[in-house]
Parts: sequence; structure tokens; C-alpha cells
Amino acid sequence: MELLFQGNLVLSAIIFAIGAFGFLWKRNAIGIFLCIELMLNACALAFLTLSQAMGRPEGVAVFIFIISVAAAEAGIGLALFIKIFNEKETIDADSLSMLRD
Amino acid sequence: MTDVTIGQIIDDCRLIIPELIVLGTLCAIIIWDMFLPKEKSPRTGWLALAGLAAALGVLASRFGEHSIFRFDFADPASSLATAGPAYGFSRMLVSDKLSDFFKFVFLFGTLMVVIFSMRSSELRGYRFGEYYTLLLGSVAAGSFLVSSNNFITLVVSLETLSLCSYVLVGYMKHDRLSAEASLKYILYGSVASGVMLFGLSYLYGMAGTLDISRSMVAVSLNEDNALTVLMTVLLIVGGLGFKIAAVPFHFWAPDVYQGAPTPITAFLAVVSKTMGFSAILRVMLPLFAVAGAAVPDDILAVRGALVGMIETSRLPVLFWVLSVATMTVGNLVALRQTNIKRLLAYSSIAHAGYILMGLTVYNNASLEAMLFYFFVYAFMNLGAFFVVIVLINQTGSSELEAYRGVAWKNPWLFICLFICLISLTGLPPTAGFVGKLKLFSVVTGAALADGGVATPTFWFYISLVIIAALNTAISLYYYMKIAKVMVFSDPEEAAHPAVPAVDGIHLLAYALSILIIFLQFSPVESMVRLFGP
Amino acid sequence: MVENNSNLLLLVTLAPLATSLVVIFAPRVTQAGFARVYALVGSIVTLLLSLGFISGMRADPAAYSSFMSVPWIEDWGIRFTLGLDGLSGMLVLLTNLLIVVSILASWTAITDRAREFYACLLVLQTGIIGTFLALDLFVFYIFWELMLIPLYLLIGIFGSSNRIYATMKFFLYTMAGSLLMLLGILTLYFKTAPLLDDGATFSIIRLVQVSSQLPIETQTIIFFAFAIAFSIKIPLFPFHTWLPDAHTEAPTAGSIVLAGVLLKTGVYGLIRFAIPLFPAVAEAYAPLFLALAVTAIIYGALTALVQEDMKRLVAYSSVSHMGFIVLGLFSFREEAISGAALQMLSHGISTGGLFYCVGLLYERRHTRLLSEFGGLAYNMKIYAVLTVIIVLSSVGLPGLNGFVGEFLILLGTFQVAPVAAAIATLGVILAAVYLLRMTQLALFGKLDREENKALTDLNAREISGLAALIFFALWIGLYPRPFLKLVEPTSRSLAELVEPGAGELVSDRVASIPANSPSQSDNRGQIDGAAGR
Repeated sequence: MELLFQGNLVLSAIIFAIGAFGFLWKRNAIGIFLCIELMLNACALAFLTLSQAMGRPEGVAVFIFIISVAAAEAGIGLALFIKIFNEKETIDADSLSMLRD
Repeated sequence: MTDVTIGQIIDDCRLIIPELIVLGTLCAIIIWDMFLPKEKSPRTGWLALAGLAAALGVLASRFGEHSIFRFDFADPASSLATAGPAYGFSRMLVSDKLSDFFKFVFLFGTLMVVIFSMRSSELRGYRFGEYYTLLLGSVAAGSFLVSSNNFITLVVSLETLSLCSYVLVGYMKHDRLSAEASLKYILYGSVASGVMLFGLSYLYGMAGTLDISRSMVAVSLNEDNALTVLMTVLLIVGGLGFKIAAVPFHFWAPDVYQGAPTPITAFLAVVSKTMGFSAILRVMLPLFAVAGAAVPDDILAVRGALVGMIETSRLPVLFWVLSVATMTVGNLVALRQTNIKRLLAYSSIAHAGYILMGLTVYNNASLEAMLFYFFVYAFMNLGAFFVVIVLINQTGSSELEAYRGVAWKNPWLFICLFICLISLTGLPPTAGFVGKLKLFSVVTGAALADGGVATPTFWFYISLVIIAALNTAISLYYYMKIAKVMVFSDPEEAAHPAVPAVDGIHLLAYALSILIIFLQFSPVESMVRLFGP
Repeated sequence: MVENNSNLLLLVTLAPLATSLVVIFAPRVTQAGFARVYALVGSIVTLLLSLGFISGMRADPAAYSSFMSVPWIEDWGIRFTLGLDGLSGMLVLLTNLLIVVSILASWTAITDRAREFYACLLVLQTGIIGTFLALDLFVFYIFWELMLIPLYLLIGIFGSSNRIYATMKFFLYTMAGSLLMLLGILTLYFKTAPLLDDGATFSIIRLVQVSSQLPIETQTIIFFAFAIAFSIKIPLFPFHTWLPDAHTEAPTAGSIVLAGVLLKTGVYGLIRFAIPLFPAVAEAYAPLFLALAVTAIIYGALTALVQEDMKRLVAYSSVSHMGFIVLGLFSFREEAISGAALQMLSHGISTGGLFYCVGLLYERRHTRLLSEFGGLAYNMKIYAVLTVIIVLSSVGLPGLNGFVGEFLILLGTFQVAPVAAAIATLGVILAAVYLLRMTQLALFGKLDREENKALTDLNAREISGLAALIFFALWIGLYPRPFLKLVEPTSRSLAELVEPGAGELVSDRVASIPANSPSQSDNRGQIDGAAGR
């Protein structure tokens, strides 16, 4: 059982790392957003695992909130993608260059 | 965990009356806006103003009712008997003087932002119902944020705040800059919350609880995994550092500040930044325990662990690096800005750096100096942003070049801005000087605390304060660059319309407040005094 | 210390500020409007007021013949303390005199934006007077910074072509210095707090009684924080590079005030604060300052020798002359310090006069290049006569003011540092060379340029300004006794304080330096365990 918990934590760390790396690597805004979702879900997995391991309920509550936050963020994000795509015909991160030093 | 009765919940609601008023106003605005035609929707602003003013009034009437928990190691019995903070909703929320102070700043700041929004020409033509709904939603979220006694509440209110601000930044939906700013904000913001949540999961695993004070104490006790603890704190501070735009989590700030509607820029620079800081302080509050305030559980063990945590200089070093990086990067990059909103964005990054200085010292004076700085920071930055709003109303541009010779056409406008800029620099005779003086003196005091000069502690702190002083001198250059364009360049031929009297009086009030706070800052000091009478 | 003449003291300090308010609201009837009239009347009233309390000075000018102290910020031990003794009285008199002269000098030169100009000049005057009178380090710092902003505007708005570079350079230099001083003040405040039984204080009268009990390293650090700030203002080599630029670009009035009074605030700071607080350190590092002073004398003189721009020439002569003052100060001989104090007055009069003379030509020809002039003595006879007198007074001709101070300085320095005195004497000779070269090229020789033939001689207003200066030049040159008597007690006590071999008694003597307050230094607490707040 303990092995399972440890394995889950390692998995969540790996998923988080993939997400973080992808966030820095990806150029397409949707890809970036997917990586962010990966990071959030890695956290959710870690919380669930820890909650189970310790037999405490808070982790589950955090899990529920993470899922809803991720959904809300995706909602706003996708709306913005559509808006920007309508204007520029692209959502490449490099095209977001009107605001820069 | 005991069962929670309805009666208890109603009882606990007394702790959050200001927030309830704000939320009630929010609902009323949604409903009223449904019956208003688009051109009349700005009227909802008055309702928002009334709601915020009422909340401020309630808050003022019970300001400082619940003190911060204070534990006197010399006299444990009597200090346990004194009333500490009030907890509510199964210890999810806490009400103490710290939260009261910050709620005051949030409500006041948002009140001003509502006025800015009513006066700004950028937002004309958009519906205002949703706008004020989101603004009030953010301030309510911020109030819950600083009242959090549990990381669950903290995460939820932080996310609510973020979601509201993402939309507000992109509110000018016909403006491409606004959409781009919003997208950048949401991308960076989501990563920051991911990072913070990841740190929290580690904290949860180590501490076994998400109660803020208990878990912070528990991880402080965890001497075996010192590095993991530091990493955890770093991740959490990183997530919150996004909100305060501390280097290296600041990349979003200039773009977002420039692209957002200016009233929202003011909101982000003043209210949202203070909210981020308030969350950091709420998390770090147990560490200020060494000076006498502590959480009630396991007091003596706590003390040992906390002293250990601070004396091994892990946290002070972390914040030393953050503070120096933030103020230096902010100031150096600000030097070459030509857009006033961008310039003020970098200036606000630099100010976050100055405030972070306070987190290298863990005592009462430092906590109070930081709170004092938030107070004056709110005044001087709101003043500066309001001048920018008035200037944008007049010229339609936020580029410095558009303000050539403005001082000679609207001298009063310039004088008000000049006072705000001097205050931001930290020169007398302004409130900013006192704020900076207090921060500097806290760090200088820490440098001299163990008696000798030329000890490692001395150099650690004195180098920080010298770097801050040099940064202040650098910042003078770009603040005066604004003044320079306005005064030393000859005005362009195009006539500037006069500033409306309402705006003029409003601005003058900022300038005068800044001067008055300098002349007599004792009332503000007593407002931020968390310990003692 | 009893309050004495406190109303008059406050009146003299605030009268210029009040006048500036009147000026800024003056009606704009003609080009310069009433502003200049109000400013002139106000400054003359201030001059008379200050004459009033100087003539009322007691027989023993070491005691503060006028003194006021009201609580300002009790928690910090800050009291609004002003006091007038011989030295500060003399400098206040000089300030008020030169402000009147500079208003006369700007009468027709400044017609555009005259109200703003005179208001800035008068705010500057309040800053300078306050700096000379403040006896509380906090109040001193406020006034010290208050001088900065009006001067920034004066040079930045009303200066000549390259003014923006010059103002920024000036501003950054002095700002860096003052922030360093602020840190020094804070360190002093915290370090002395445990030594004072009546609470921490910024009062210089109390601080000098205990400062010598601090560990010597602490004293050294604080002394240099002060000394660098003051050296930038003086400006002592190698901190002088801002001066020629600022002078060249400043309007005539700005130059007169800058050279005449502002540079003296640096020396005054050394005499009033840095040296009495840390006599042991000052004595230990005296050779360093003597060497820098001698370098400044020779370097300034040699550079002045090759200048083509008259203002630049006079600016470099200032560097040289200020070197003399520092030389006299750090020789710590009574006569040399008296000489240095007198030389502060003399230099203010002569250099103020020189800048006025150059300004008169600039107003007529809009150039300051020596090659553009020649033979002016033929058609501007009065101008030539007055200029020659001023030049001779600056050169140090016996019978005029420059001689007395320089002679006393060299006399005193020769007894402790004969080599330095010998090299400095070379500076006197060089001064004659470069100033007479200027006179030769501008006034004598052939009147061969058409533009110069049409120049008109001085009118009554211009003569009256120069005549006032020449009156004082002659007075000091022929009968310096009243002025020497004013500064004698200060210089005597300063010399006794750092007399070689008396180091161990210093703390007891310090008590009697700035005031006749009773010595309380013998029953101070131990330094051990001294801790900051």
C-alpha cells in the first residue's frame, strides 16, 4: 500500500515536471494550456494520494477545488483564444508581441 | 471534528459582515444591471460605491476588535487569558487586526478604483454591470484571502481573485492589447497557482494538515528535511510572489499593466499586489512569533523551532535574494521605459522589492513597517495612476511623449503628480519618505541588533539596506524622467482640455494626504500597531 | 535648554515659504508680473528679520541665542528643534543677502514663467535656512532634501542648453550622498539609544554627549556616511564633477545661490555634525582630508586656468576655494577653523558676485565665452570697476574679504601640516593668475567686436546688487572682528575637541561643544549589550 502511495507521488512529480517543461517549450497557446492543465492535475493527484495515505479529508476538498479552478481557467482561456484567433488567425505564443519592452 | 450547527454558522457570519455586504451589493448589481439599458449601466457604479462605503463603515466600527494572538513567554498565564483572534467556520477563517488592516486597504483601494472607472474614458461604451460585479468579487475574494486560516480557503479565494482579475484585464474586448494582456496574465497566473499547489501538496504531506498556522509550525519543526521545507516555502512564496510581481515571477506585470484598462492597472498595482502580500504575511505570521505572537498550540516547541528556522538564516537569505533581485531588476528595467503605465509597472515591482526587505527581519517593528508601507503605497500609487487616467482622458495615449509640457497647461495636475512621484521615490516631505524610513530603520536595527559592527549579521542586513538606498537613487532618475518630459519640454500646440473640477479635487486630496501623513504619521502608526495598545 | 526667540526663528525659516505661496498666486500683469516684486519684498523682509536676531545675539555666541524645540513625533523622539548660534547666524545672513541679490539678478533675465521661478527660489531659501538652523538630525535631513527639489527645477527649467544632463547628474550625486547620510543617521540613532537614559533621540545636542562612547569602528562607519554626503555637497575632490556642469547650465540666480550658499551646507554639516559627533575619527583621518583638500585646490585652480567659458572658470575656482575651507577645517587649529568659517562667508560674497558679473554679460550678449569679449572697460566703465573689485576680493587682495580667511587658514595649517600649507599657497597664486586672466581677456585689451560696442553699462538695480556685495567684501576685509567673534566659540571648541593627545578626554569635552548644556556623559550606561530596536 505504502509503495502505491510513493509511486503515485513520484508519478505526480513526473507529470508536474512534464507540464512545467512543456509550458516553457510549447509555442502554441493551446499546447501551453494543456501543459498547465497537466501541472494542475499533477497537484490534484498528489493531494488525493496524500489524503488517502493519511486518512484525512482535506486533500479531497482541495482536489475538488483544483478541478473546478482548472475548468474555470480553461473557460476564460479558451474565450480569449477564440478572440485572438479571430483577429490574427493564429494563436502562436510568439504572435503575442504587441506588448513588450 | 465536531458537527457544525446552523446557529454556529450564523454566529460566525458576524466575523465577515463587510464581505457579506460586498457580496450582497454584487448580487444587487447583477440584478439591477439586467433591467438597465446599456447606456445607463454606468449607474451601477454608484451602487458599488455605496456598498463599498458601507462595508468600510462596518469595518471601521469594529477595527482592531480582535488582536493578533500574542504569547508572552515571560508571563504565559496572563497572555493566554487575553483575547486573541476570533476563529470562525471550523477554523477556516480568522479575524484579527492584521486582516482588519488589510481589508481596510482593499476596500479603500477598490472604492477609489470604482471612482477611477467612473471617470475613465477608456471604459466608455462597455457594459458596467459585469465590470463592477467582477471588481467587487475580487475585493471579496481578497478579504477572504487575508482572513484565511486554512490553505483551502487561501487557495479558493486566491483563485477567485485571479479569475476575476483575468476577465477585468481583458475587459476592453475591442482592444487587442487588452486581450493579449489578459491571455498573458492567465497563462502566467495558472502556472503560478500550479506551482503553489504543488508546494502545498508537499506541505500537506509533511504537516498532515492544511491549517495555516499549525502546518507552518509543523514544517518548521521538521529539521530532518530542511531542504524540502525550504523548497516547499519557496514554491508557496513563488505562487504568491506572482501576485506581488516579485522577480523572477514578474514577467507578466509590465505587459498586463500596459494592456489593461488603466483603472484595472491601478487595481492590480495597489489592491491586488497588497492582497498577494497579505497572503504571504498570513502564511508567514507564525514566524513572526519570535517577537511574542504565536499560535496557541505547542507554544514552547514552536518557539524553539521558529527561532531555529530564522536563526539558521534560511528564510532571511531567501527573502534577501528575492528582495534585492526584485528591487534591482524593477528599477533598472524601469530606466528605459517610455510608456507611463509600463514604467509604473516596473516601479511597482521595485516597491515590492522594498517591502520584501521587511521579511528578512522577524519582529514586530518589521511587520508594522511593512503594513505602514502598504498604507502609504496605496495613497501614492493611486494618486499617480489617477493622474495617468486623467492624462489618458485628455490625450488618449499612455506614451510619455504625449505628455510634453503638460505641466505648463495644467500646473495643478502636474503638482499632484510630482508630489506622488517624490513620495514614490521616498523623498521628504512626503509619506513615502516615512514609509521607506521605517523599512530602512527596521533593517538597520536588525543589522545592529547583536551589538557589533562587521559581524556577518551586520553585513547581511547592512548590505541589503545599502542596496535599497542605491536603488532609491536610481529610481529617482526615472520618476524625474516623467517630470522632465512634462516640465522641461515645451508644450505642443494642441490645446489640452482643462481638468474637470471633480478630478482636480480628488487629485488634490491625494497630494494633501501624502503631505499630511508625512507631517503627522502617528495615527497611521497606531493603526498598524498589531501589538500593544 | 530654554526656548528663546522661538517665534523669530520660526518666522525667518518660514517667511520665504510663505512668500513663495504669495508669489505663485501673483497676478500676471506684465511679463514678469508682480511675482518679482513680491519676491523681492519678501526676501528683503526676511533679510531684515535675520539681521534683527543676529544683532540681538548674546555676548557669548556659542550659546544658542535663539532656540526652539517642539515635539513632533514623540514615538521616535523627534523634536522640531531649531537653534541659532554665531556660525549659523552668519550663514543665514549670507543666505538671505544672496537671495536678495539673486532676485535682483533675475529681474529682467527671467520673464517667462517668472512666478514659478521665484517660488522655487524662495522654497530653496527655506530649505537652506532650515538646514543651517536644524539641531535635530531628522529635521536637518528633511531640510537637506528640501533644498534638492527646487534647485532641480530651477536648473532644469530655467537653465541653458545642456541643462537636463546637468540636473540629472547633480540630482543623482547629491541623492546618493544623502541616502548614505540617512543610513548613517539611522545607525547613529539605534546605536546611541541604549546610551541615553531619556530615550532614543535625533537631537544633536544629546547625541554629541554620548557618541564618543560608541565603538570606534561604528564611529568610523557613521562618520564616513556623513562625510561622503557632505563632501559631495562641498564638493571635495573627487566628488566635484557635478559642480561645473550644474553651474554652467544654471541660470544666474541659481549659480549665485548654488556657489554662494549651497556648497556651504556641506562644510556646515561637517562643522556642526560630523566632526563634533566623531572627533576621534575626524582626527584620525585628517591627513586624508588635508590631502584631498590640497588636491582640490591645485586641481581646481589648474583646470580654471584653461577654461574658455567664464561660468565654468568660476565654477572650478569654487572647487579650489572650497578646498581651502576644508583644509582649514581639518587642520583643527583654532585660527584656521575661524578662517575657514570666515572664508565660507567670503567665498559666498565673492563667488556670488563673480557669477553675478558673468550673468550680467550673459544677459547682454547670450554668450559666456571669453573669446567673445574684450575691451569692455571702454564702454562699461561702472561694470568694469565693480567687476575688478569683486575679482580682487576673490583673489585675496589684502583689504578685501578673501584675504582674511585665506591668511588665517594658511597660518593655522602651517603649524600642523607645513607641506600642505605650502602647496595650498601655490593655489593662491594660481587664483590670481586665472582670475586676472579672465579680467584681462574680458575687460581690457581692444574693443574690437561690433556687438560689444553697443553694450550698455549697468543700471541702478544692477549696481545696487553688486554694491551690497562689495559693501560686505570691504567690511570683512577691513574690519573682520565682528564676524570672527561670531565664529570664534565654535572654532575654539572644535579645535579643543580634536587637539592631538586629548583623545581620552574627548567625551567630556564634547558635551560643551554645540551648547552650554550640562555634561551628563559620565553617568551613561555601558555600551555592552547595546541592541537596536
